[in-house]
Order: sequence, then structure tokens, then C-alpha cells
Amino acid sequence: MKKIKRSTITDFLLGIVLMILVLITFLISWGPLETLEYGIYDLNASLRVKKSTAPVAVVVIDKQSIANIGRWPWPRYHIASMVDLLRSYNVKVIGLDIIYSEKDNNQGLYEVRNLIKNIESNPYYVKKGFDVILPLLKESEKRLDNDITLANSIAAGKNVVLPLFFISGKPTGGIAAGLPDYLQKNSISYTGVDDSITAREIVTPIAEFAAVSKGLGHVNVIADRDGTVRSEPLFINFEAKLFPSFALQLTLKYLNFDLTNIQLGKEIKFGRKTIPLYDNNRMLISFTEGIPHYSFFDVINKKIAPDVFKDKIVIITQTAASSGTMQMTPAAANVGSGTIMANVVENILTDDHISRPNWAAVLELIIIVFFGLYIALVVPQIKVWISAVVSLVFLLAWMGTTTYFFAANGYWIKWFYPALILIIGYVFIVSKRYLLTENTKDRIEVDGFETNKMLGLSFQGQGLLDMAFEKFRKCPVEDESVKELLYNLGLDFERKRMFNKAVEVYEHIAQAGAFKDISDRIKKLNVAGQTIVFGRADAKKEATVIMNKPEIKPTLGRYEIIKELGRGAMGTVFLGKDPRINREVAVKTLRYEEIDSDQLAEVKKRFFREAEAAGKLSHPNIVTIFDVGEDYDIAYMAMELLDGSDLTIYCRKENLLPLEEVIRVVSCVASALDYAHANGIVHRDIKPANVMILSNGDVKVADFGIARVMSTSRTQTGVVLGTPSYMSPEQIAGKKVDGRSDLFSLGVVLYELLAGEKPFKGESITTLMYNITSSVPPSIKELSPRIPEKMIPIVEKLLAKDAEDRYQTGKLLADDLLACLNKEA
Amino acid sequence: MDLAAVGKTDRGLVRINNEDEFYLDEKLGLLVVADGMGGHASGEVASKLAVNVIRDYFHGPQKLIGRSNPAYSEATNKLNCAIRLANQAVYEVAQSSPVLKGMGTTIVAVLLTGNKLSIAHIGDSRAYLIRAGNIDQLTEDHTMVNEQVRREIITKEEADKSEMKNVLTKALGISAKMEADLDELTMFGDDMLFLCTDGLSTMVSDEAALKIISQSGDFNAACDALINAANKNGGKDNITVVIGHIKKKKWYAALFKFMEFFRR
Repeated sequence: MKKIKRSTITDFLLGIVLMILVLITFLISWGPLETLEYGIYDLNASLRVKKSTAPVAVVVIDKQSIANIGRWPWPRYHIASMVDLLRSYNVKVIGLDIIYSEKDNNQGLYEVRNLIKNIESNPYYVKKGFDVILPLLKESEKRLDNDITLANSIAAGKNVVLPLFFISGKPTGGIAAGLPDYLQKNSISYTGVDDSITAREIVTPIAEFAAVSKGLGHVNVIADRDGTVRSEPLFINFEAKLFPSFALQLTLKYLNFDLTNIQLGKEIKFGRKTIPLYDNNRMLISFTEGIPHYSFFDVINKKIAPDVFKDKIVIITQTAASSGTMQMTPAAANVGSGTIMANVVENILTDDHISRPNWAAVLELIIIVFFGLYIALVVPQIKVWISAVVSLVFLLAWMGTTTYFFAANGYWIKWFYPALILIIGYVFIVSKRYLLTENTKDRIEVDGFETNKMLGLSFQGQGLLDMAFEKFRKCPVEDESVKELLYNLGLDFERKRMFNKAVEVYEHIAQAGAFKDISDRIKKLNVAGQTIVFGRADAKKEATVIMNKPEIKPTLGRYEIIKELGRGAMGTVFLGKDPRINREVAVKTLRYEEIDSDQLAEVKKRFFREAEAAGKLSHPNIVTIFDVGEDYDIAYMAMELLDGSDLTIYCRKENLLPLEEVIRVVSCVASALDYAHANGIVHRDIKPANVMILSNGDVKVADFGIARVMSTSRTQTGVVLGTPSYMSPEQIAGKKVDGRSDLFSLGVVLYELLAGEKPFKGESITTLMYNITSSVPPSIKELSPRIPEKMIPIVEKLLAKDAEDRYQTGKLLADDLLACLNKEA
Repeated sequence: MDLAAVGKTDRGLVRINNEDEFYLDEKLGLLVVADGMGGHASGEVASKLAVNVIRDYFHGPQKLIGRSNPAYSEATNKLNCAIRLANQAVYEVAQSSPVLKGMGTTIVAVLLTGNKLSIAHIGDSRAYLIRAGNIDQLTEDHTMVNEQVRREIITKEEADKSEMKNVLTKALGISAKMEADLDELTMFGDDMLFLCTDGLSTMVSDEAALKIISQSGDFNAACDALINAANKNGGKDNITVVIGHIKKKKWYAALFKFMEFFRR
């Protein structure tokens, strides 16, 4: 039922596109992201580091050994004696991680051999009996021939594994047929496809060593693209043969297995061991700490107890100082290749592997899709902070799951891709929402383009075409949408036969260039305009319809209406003429339509009664009423035409009347009120607008009694009251009023005439009303210092809240005022 | 929450024209009632124009105009903007022509957004909430007497007799700047909204109206019954009633409500 927002759709598409992008990078294992994934891997791996327990030890040719034994390369007999020593310690398998790919180059041996050769080949020496030293020389030769010494050591224990090194690259395409026997023996054939790392060249130990070794394994270490070693290539494919790694060979030999026992497949199996594989027949290494390392020098000098080597795998290796390269691993930096091998051995022997289970990729895919859908469907719908919390929970849960699997089971689940879609998606959707919602929240100006457009359309819908045009005119006509609006408005004008208006609209559009058929329309309408009388002419003047035919003078009763003078609260005031006595009069009309029809008779009655009563009043300061009547359903009142202005203009500070004049005017009003009150008539609406000063200086009070008839007879939703600044407290309370109420109002007028300010003010009608009924006006003395002391109690008495406290008649007031004036004089 | 609404207007027995206007939009959750005033039938123009401008505003892009009040929700501010716009429209039209000069209208509008109700009004047309068998007036009449009663200048009894019962202190369209009174409310299932013009509220007491609404089978009948009651009591003014019903919750409503909490 809820309307789907457009933004929801775009958010959905955004989420889906993001998901597809992440899926693609996931499936192609995009390098840069993989590197980031490795970061997480390393973090998890460091949580997993355990103490080593496997029977493996490393003998290191370290700085100390080199310092004590001599510069590398050492004579090979040092190694031979180490091998012999380890054998005597009952080491189960020795891994000699040093490649002797060339024969020993021993100057002394050459010399001895030359001597032997010389002695044997020269009969002279034999004759001389020099050949007696020949056995000694042969002894020396044997001693000096380190290769033989080492070969013998290797052969003696039948437990030494030697390294191979491959130079990786595209395979040469050759077949292993030409390989020597010892290489054939140390490699396996495969059927089907193999994705092992391939090599193009091989470096082997010299045949003397290789032939007598227990096994051969490659020592290649393959780092990931970020330079960290995380895996061991268990096999390297060289000339269609698979060569096992050094560590694998060591383990096989240790467990009394042979290469022939190995079953290749998704995992590598031999005996009861199963080694999980990652891409390219690699095994992910789970690094451990505390693999025992011993210095070569210490071992050879028997400083290490023989027991620590018993029945173990011992790897003899070099460190940096002796040319062995150092590697970076997730667990530590500067790790020798021997240590890495030892770790591999350790992993295989203890069955502690890091693996990618079969279901890992499926799980990752599911989570990517799940997070993608969450981003696409859920996030756009929910509050920002809630989606933040939910996303964070997802992220942490996912992180926790993967970390748990990694640490506890060694299952490597790629954390990064699903997390990526969650983070990027969230940031995208939320920031987009912020950017865009800010847009929709853009405020528009009160008089802005859109407001005008909106109002214009509303006016047009209401048939207020002129108003609509006024609004559209404020919009930039260059805008296509505005042109369209104007065009439709023009058509509306045509329909109403207001052709000149239509032309005006089209011409307005034409300012911004041609649009649709407007030029044709303008031409056509101009022709029409010459022959058709415009229908619109008087649309605005219905109210003054009486005035529209100047040749026939309209009349109200017996009065000819000449022109409109103005509009008052009750109705329109016209300048009329009594044709009989040729006297100009003011004709005030009463609007009936604001009066409830059931009350009309009553209101009329009251109006006429009040008007007649007022008409009986004859006082120099009261506007004379000549006549009251009714015509065309319009009640009217003909009265004295006055030439002057009312008091409103004298109520402004810069325009105040002199004090004497104020006193004169107010006392005139007071005496008029006194007279009227004495005749039982209360004005009820004394205010500056109802008091006139004529050009000859006369003061006249207008509208006796009538104003109230109007204001209280509106039972329908009536008028909004003009500010009731001049109302007396009892008027506001809706009580019955008498002449003293008029005197209160006159007090307000007096105050205003003196001070240029109203005594009661208020921001709203309510506060104003409250002030009138309850608060004391600001002291007039402070507002206008020129006021004589005597005036102040007069004003205060007039503005008393209780009618009893005021002047009881106008005469008393007039007397006080005049006394004040006399004293002044 | 969903809103179902019905509305009716009647000329009454005395007046010759109907200056009331109302507008319902169940989809938007918008109910508007206006009571026009002014001579020469200009009241009709004012109320109709005001209601139409509000309607057009909500059918348009609903952009906020001018300053908004951070104390209220976006929906309430929008409602306020719509009324501001309506005020501008009525005022400008009134100024444009002597016939229409002085016209104005009351307005009461409610907007349901989710379970939040925004209320805005100017003048003496009222909005009531009927909940659990009680009727509560949600709006304060902008009339002279109501202000006086509130200020304790006069008593309620005096107010009923006052000559100035129909004098408004505020109306839409009579000045360039006019701000509506705003309010917000949380709605529950089965709540009812009842909007009316003074043609009803002066003729039928709150309790009587509540009785009529709760006894009527459906809301159409309730509207008719209310108008009949007002006419029976005199029908001195145009009568307009609008009844909105917040639809009863389904069994899964609690779940929806829970979800609603998360939605933005």
C-alpha cells in the first residue's frame, strides 16, 4: 500500500550493482583486494600461533658459527662431520639444506693429486724410492677430498635428504626421460591436469651426493604478491614430473613412507595423513613458535646434549649471514627457509593445517549475496542509526565467525569480500541519502519560482486567471515548464473569451522565443479582438456595478449616486446628490450579505431605529443624518457631507496637535457625547476614525450607534475584529454598556492625541484585551513631558477600569478640560 | 496506519449559500475543513482556494517553504507550509479585487504520517479526537470569547451569552503573515478524528456529537446524523463534518509496529 519511493529503487539498483562488482572481484580474486584479504589472514594467523610439539629441530649455521669456524663457504668436511655427529646421535632424518651443485674446488687437493700423478707417472721417482710416500699422499688426497668425505657421510646413515632448487618459469616442454636416475626416483608422474607451479630449470646437488642421498626435495619458497610466505608448494612441476618439497620428503622419510605412497588429488594423502591443498598444490602453513634451533658451532663442539636430537628430523640450514635468504611470514619477519620447512614438517606431523574447506567459497558467496541484499533492500528503508548498528553487528559477527573458524579449526574463510560490500554499501547508501535528502529538504523561497508556480496553478484551477498570470509572470519565462504553464493559461483565457488577456500571455511567452503555435494564435486573436467586444471588461468591478453606466445616473432612494468615496466597516460610502434640493450628501450603505437572513429583519429594524434615533440628534459636533431608507435591498443613510479629515493622522508622534487644540477637540467630543447620552444614545465605537475635524475647524462625531448594530449582528463566521484598542473593559467582557464606556474610549483617544501612542498595546488581540481589562497604562507624563500636571488625573480618571470611577457624564469631562485650558492661559 | 475518511457539508437552514469547504485524501492521510467568510459570496472563494492550495501542495513536491519549526516533525512543518501558502494565496486574491477584499477563512487540517498526527488550525473550525469512548477537542478556537475565557476575563457561561461569540481573533487570508497553531499526536488503532465547522459545534454539543458518532453504524450515516442534529437545533450556519477512522490493527500489526520503529 505504501508507495515505493523513487530513491528506494535507485538504492536497490545501487546495492545490486555493488554486489555484482564485489562478486566479480571475488571470482577473479582481484589482486589488490587479495592483498587486503591477506592482511586479515595474517591477523588471524597470528592468533593461531602455537607452541611447536613435533620432533623437529634446526641446526643453524649462524653468525657465531661463521665467526668461529671461518668464512663461508666452509670446507665440506665440516658438514660431513656434522652429518656423522648427528648420525651418532640417532637422528632419524637429516635434512641438509645446502646445495652443492659443483664439485669442491680445493687447491691443496689439486696439488696432492698432481704430486701423486707425477710420482706414479715418473719412473724416476719410483727408482729413487720416493714411492714410499705414495700411500701417505694417497691418504692426504683422501683426506683432502671433501666431496668424498661428505658423500661417504651422506651414504653412511642412509637418512640424509638433499635439496633441489628450481628456477620457476614456463615449462620447457621437455620430458623427463633424460633425467638422471636419482631425479626420476625422487619425482612422481601424474595423470590428467596438474596446476603445480612449473619450473624451467633445475639445480641439483652433484651426482656423487644425489645418488647416495635418502631423498631429494625442492627448497623453493614462494612468497605471495605482498612478499609474505604463507604457503609451501608441495610439488613443483618440472618436465612433466612432480618434485616434492624438501619438507614433504623429510616427513615422508621420517614416517617411513616413500613418494610412491602418495595419492594426489584435491588433497594429498599418504598413509593416514591428509594434507589439504590450496591453489597450485600449495599447502597453507600454520606457523608455530618454539621450534628448537641450535647453533652449528655449539652442536659440533658437543655443547648440546645428544638427547635433543634423538629420533628427530634435523634440518641443517643457513641464516642470512651465511647467504641464506630470509623471509617474511604472518607470524614473524626474518624467518630462515629452514624454519619455514620445519614448520611445514610440524604441520604435517601434527595434522595442524590451515585449509580452505570446500564450503568456504559457497559460504562467502552466500554472505556476499546476503549482505548485498541487505544493503539493497533493508538499509534504504530503515533509520540511519539503526542501520549503522545492524551493519556493525553483521560486520562483527562475520568477523567473529571467520576468526573463530580460523583460530579453532584452521579454516580460512575470506572475510574481506563480504565485509567490503557491507562497508562500501553502507557508506554509499547512507551518504547518498544524506546528500539527496538534504536536496529534498531544500527550502524554497516564499516568493520563489516554485511557490509562484504552485500558487499560480492553484489560482488557475480556481478560475482566477489574472492572479495566475501574475504569479506565472514572476517565473522565468525561459523555463520550458513555465512556457507550458503560460500556454495553458492562455488557452484558458481564450476559453473565457478574454482574448486580449490571452494575447498578453502569448506575447509574454514570445519574449523567450517561439513556442508551439503562439504566433498564429496571436494573429488570430488580434483579428478577433477587433470585432468582438471584450467580455472581461468589468470582471473586477462587480461591487461598483451601480457606477458602470455613467450616462444613466444610478440612484439609491431619491439620491443620485455620483461616485464612490470609500469603503467602511459597514459598507460602501458614496457621494450622492439630493436632486430635489441640489445638495450633496454622503450616502452610507449597509451590506446585507453579512447578516444572517433570519436576523435580517431584526437587524434592519435595529439599524433603522438606531439611525433614526441618531437622526434626531441635533448638535453642532454630531454629524447630521438627513435620511434613512432602503432600495434594491440596500439599506442606506444619507448624511451631511463633510470636508475634512479624521483624527487618525493626528495620533502619530510627529504629527501631534498642539495641546490647546487637543483639549478643544476632546471637549467638543465630550459635549457631543454628553448630549447624545442625555438623549439615551451610546456611540459604542469612539475612535479617531469616527471623529472629524472639518476644514473650517469644526469637530464632528460620526456613526452614532450604527457601528455596533453591524458588529454584533453577525452570527455567521464573521469578521476578524480589528484591533479593539478603543474598547472599554466592559465592552470586552461583553457586558451591557452605557455612556461611560464611550468616555473610556474617548480617554484612549485623548491619551493617543497627547502621547502619540496607544495606552494599551499587545502583540496579539489576547494580550491587548488582557491589558485593557487588567493593566495600568504607562504614565502619560513620561511619554509626553509637555503635558500640564492637571491633565494627568483627567486621563487617569477616564481610563479607570471600573465605570463608577470615571467621569459620569461628558459635561464633567468637558468642564475639567476647559478649566485646564483656562489655567494654562 | 491507514486512514478511512468520510465528509459531508450542508448549507444549513438559514444561510443562502455554503461557504464551507472540505477535502479528504485517505492515501495522504490528509483531512481539511475550511469555513469561509466575507461578503458577496467571497467566503466561498476563500475557503475553496485555501483548501485547493493545501491539496495542490500535498500533491506536488511538498517542499518546505520559508522557515520551519524544529520543534515539530517534517510532516507538521509541511502542513504548516501548506497553510502558509494558502494564506498567501487567499490574501493576495483578496487584495486583488475590491469584491473579495476582506475575505478569509478558518482552516483545520490534520495529516497522518505513520502513526503521527499533525494538526494545524486557524480560526474556530475544530478537530476532535475520539478515543476509547471519549471526545477531546484538539484545537483551541481563535475566537474573542475563547481567549477571554482562557484569560479568565469572563466565565464560560458569560461566553455563551456574549455578543462577540462569532468574532475571530485569527483567520486565514486576512493578513500577509498568519501562522497556524500546530500540534502533534500519536495515534492508535481505532482512534477517530472528527473535524467540523462552527455550524456544527455551536449547534451540537461535544457529548451529543460523540453519542451520535458512536451510535451510528457507519461513518456516512454518522455524518448525516450529525448534520440532521445541527439542522434540528437551528442550522443557523453552514455545517461541515469530516470523520476519519484510524484502521483497526490486524494480528500482525504488532510486528508492523515493531518494524515501523526501524523505518526512517
